[in-house]
Amino acid sequence: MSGANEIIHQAMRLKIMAALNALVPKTTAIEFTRLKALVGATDGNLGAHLDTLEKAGYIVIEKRFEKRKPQTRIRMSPDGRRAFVEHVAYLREILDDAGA
Amino acid sequence: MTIDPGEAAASLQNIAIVEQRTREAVFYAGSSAIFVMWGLLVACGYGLTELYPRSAGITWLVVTAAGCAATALFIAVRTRARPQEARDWRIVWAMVALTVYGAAWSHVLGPIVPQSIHYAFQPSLYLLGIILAGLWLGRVFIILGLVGIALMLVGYLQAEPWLRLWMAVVQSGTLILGGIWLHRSGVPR
Repeated sequence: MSGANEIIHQAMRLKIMAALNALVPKTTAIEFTRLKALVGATDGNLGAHLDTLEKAGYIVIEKRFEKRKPQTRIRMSPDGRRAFVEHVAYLREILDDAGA
Repeated sequence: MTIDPGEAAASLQNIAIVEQRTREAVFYAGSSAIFVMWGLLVACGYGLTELYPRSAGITWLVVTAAGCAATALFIAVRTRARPQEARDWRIVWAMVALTVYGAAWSHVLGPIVPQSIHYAFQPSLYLLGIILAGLWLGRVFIILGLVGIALMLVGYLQAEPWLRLWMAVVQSGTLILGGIWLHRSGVPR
């Protein structure tokens, strides 16, 4: 059994990773404001958690200008996807073991 | 770090909720152009019917066929980019089934029922389809369908010539504004 991922397991970061993982195709980037609405976070809260995930190499943050307005877009990295899948598998194993 | 089974279950539930919400948002954004396109086609249909009332039947046949073809084209382009989205095609088949069903009954009941029922029958079938689709695809579809049907029922209280104008504005307006709302609620791909 692989261990828990302490970075991903925090409630808000888990939601962020779940939202990014559900995008189609998986390499799609999502706007900051849309992600904020999906996970139910505030600007500051989301920014802080994205910073943590970016430092861990789990997400990539792209900043660019769209029609002269700054836009922040976030996508999951291959490492982040692997870590998220492993963490979800770990959570399922816990439930399976508890039910056994 | 240790996680107890209760916490693991809660985390998995949170993941499922966010994933579902994200999938709905992606679908909303993907559907918005289709809604706006249908809204514009319906507006054209009513406009042409007003100008050429004797050709109303053929006008609506062309509008519906054009709408179904354009919807299929939208989905074909999207499915080519993302082959895993087979679900989209089932929506086209459902749309075709509703069209054929509605057209067949309109043809059979044409000489019997009042004209005002024809303005409401086929659109209400589509709106019912949107409500039913919303049970799987997200509540925004359900709200759109219910609002559209409610507005059509209000229009039913109007007499001619306001009935046709009301139906044209309500049907095309619901679709166009609904499409814009879907775009704003969604996550573009």
